[in-house]
Amino acid sequence: MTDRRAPLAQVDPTIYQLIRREVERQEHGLELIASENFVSVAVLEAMGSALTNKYAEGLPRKRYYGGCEVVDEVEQLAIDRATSLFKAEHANVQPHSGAQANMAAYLAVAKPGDTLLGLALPHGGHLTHGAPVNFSGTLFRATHYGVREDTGRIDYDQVREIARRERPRLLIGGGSAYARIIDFAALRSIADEVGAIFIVDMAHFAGLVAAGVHPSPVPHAQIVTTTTHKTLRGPRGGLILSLEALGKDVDKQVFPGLQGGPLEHVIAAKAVALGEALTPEFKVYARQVVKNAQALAAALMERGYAIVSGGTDTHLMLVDLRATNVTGKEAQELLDRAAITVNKNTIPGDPQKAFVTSGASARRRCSRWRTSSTPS
Amino acid sequence: MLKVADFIDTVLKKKDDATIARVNAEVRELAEQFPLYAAPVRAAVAGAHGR
Repeated sequence: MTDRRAPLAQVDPTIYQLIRREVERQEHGLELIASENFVSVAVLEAMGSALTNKYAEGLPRKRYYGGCEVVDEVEQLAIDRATSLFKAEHANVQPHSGAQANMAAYLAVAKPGDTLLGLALPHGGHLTHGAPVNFSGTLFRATHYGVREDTGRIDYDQVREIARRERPRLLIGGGSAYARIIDFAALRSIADEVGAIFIVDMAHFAGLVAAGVHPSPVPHAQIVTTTTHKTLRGPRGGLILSLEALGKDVDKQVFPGLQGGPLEHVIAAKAVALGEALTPEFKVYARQVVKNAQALAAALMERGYAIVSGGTDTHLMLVDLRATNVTGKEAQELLDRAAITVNKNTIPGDPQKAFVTSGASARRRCSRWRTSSTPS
Repeated sequence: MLKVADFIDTVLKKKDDATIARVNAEVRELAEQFPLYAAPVRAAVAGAHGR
């Protein structure tokens, strides 16, 4: 019989050793994947807590289970910190992931078959912004805008032209490999002109928004989604911010629409991360993240590498490898062997397949959280 | 950041095993100067229960 009080190393040495190996890998490598970060011990501790034992379908003070008085307080704290941090009217902290947050957001204001307009995947968009292999491309009629080939930046005139032609129900802002500040006001004006709901997926730059080093989409978009584990430096999960008027529709799509019981241990960790993001230290950290990314982009350009759009305003950059003799896949594999982790990525106009690519996405040395105020 | 750019540039240009091994060692040395967690393995697996 399992001793429930025995440590992991004793109960399951195989998993223990695998976790140990992964921690070693993270400790001794250069993690440059733009969607990853290193959480604090406090966040790890909340995630590894006994809150995982609790079922809590519903929302704080409106649950389908008894015994929720403690997790009610935990979840309400996460909600309050999210609305305070991002100056939002409403927050739902339950989505298990960014993809689920996006799905709930879309279905809160649109129905299957409606038209969606988002940034194309090869131009820096995300799978959930209308890729044909994703729910967003199968449930919705997906159309796309892109970036200008000469600047690598979103062509807002093209967005307006496509929006006028396609009349989307949803206009999506944000992306996975777009390094420049997005003109949220311009996209909102386009959405208003064609009667679309404007949704921003700020997963990549949420931490920068939280720290005030990147413009906030919250005043412009009816709904803003994010993951909590990228620049926000929290546990793996999702979060939806919205106008109060849309709050109930969003909540209903998360539960019972898409999910069952919320992960209260993860929500506790989200609360901890959101609390950390409210501190002055986080502002220093986020500012340094952007400085580091800009310094790395400049240093790579000095060494002859092309950076899509000529640099970065955020934490990430997309390296165009077409002038070199390596593909994105080869670069990723070579750097992996040197303990430098990046990810291959398609670039605008990429002649290679998505599994090979001509680009590599990277970001600053992640300003490891313990040394986040130290310029590196 | 200059050092990181040099690591990347060196690996992508040279590509040979000896160079990659040398950069790997330099990356490790650099990373060790900025530890993520005070007691890395314990912190990651022991969680809230202080083991």
